[in-house]
Amino acid sequence: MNWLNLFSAVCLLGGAASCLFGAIGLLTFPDVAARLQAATKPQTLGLILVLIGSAVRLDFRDASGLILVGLFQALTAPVLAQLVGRAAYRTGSVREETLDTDDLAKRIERERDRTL
Amino acid sequence: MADQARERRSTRRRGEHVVSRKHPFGRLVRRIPLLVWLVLVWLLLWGTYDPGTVFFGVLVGVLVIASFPAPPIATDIRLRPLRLVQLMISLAWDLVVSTARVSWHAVVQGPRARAAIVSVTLVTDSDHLMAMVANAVSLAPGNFVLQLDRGNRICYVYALGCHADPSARVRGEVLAWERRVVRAVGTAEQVRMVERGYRGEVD
Amino acid sequence: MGVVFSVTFGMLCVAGLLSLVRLLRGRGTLDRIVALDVFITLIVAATCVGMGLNRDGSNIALAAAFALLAFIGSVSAARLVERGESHR
Repeated sequence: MNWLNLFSAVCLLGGAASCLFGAIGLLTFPDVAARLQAATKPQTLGLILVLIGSAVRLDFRDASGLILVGLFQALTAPVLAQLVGRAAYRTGSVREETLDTDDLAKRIERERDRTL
Repeated sequence: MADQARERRSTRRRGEHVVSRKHPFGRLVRRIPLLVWLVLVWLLLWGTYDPGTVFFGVLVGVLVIASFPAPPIATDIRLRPLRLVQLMISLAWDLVVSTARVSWHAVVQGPRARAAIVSVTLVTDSDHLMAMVANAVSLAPGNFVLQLDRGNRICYVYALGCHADPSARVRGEVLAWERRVVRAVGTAEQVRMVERGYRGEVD
Repeated sequence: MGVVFSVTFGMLCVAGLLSLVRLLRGRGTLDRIVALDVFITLIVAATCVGMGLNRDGSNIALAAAFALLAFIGSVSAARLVERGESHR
């Protein structure tokens, strides 16, 4: 029982720390696309860890629902990242000076040249 | 033999999904995985597993499927349970590594963080595989897929973090994900394609 | 164990405050969408921690519904932004 408590404590603290770092990244990163990285990955990991930490303290009947919450988050976070990222790129919210290379811009330029 | 025929058909139609209108029973059978998934969600939400819950779960599932008809999709997916577990473990491990890396970037670099948008051409040509690879990449270290070009099998991947050669690194990572995904759910032919492409990369 | 829960809740609260700062400062609609999504995820996480603390799982359906609604809301908002800006 004690080991279970220790495991739960590690998961809860790790998950909360992960969420906290994600929120810090949300504040410090320079543009939407980079902030999105901070938002999606650490939040997903943080939520899943917190879920595991809570689930071991519940009986099986309740814990099964937590699996569902974690699954939803893991499935939807990448989709959201892709959608918001694309919207950010199309509306010009990705700052070009932070990019080392931009193959998409090169391609768009190439296709514009061809149509002109 | 059947595999080859299906393979040929799917390559000819370039992943277009065929709705068989001739066999209504076949359509019903194809919906069964969806029904199983819905009943599973229902059971997890209720948290009880007695026959009554299952019965009402099936009832609600059939009702949902009947009232919101989604196009039945024919997949050319082969499940390999062991490889799928491997894929999930590497996804989970990558989630941990990526979180540590992004947190490090957030604290140390912050506003000076650099990024790159890299185009990666995938080896295989399938709707489902491309979607799964894109999802896997979007969950993995500091990257997400910004734009897909289905016709030319190109992913445009946004990658965070400064590196000497971001293009080569991102390309290697995405192709590694493709290899893992195809090994888990691809057909034998697709697995061969991926292995060949990987060996070509190494040489 | 009580200390663990206090620290966990404390960290989640600070994270929530930071995401609220981003939500208010914004700079763009997309920034705000991302910040709001993070905030809702934090609420879901805090709800689950609360369930672990009280050993009571009656709020699970609420957490699941919140997680899904956050996704649907953010997706539709992001699509709206994309369409609205491309008209310019």
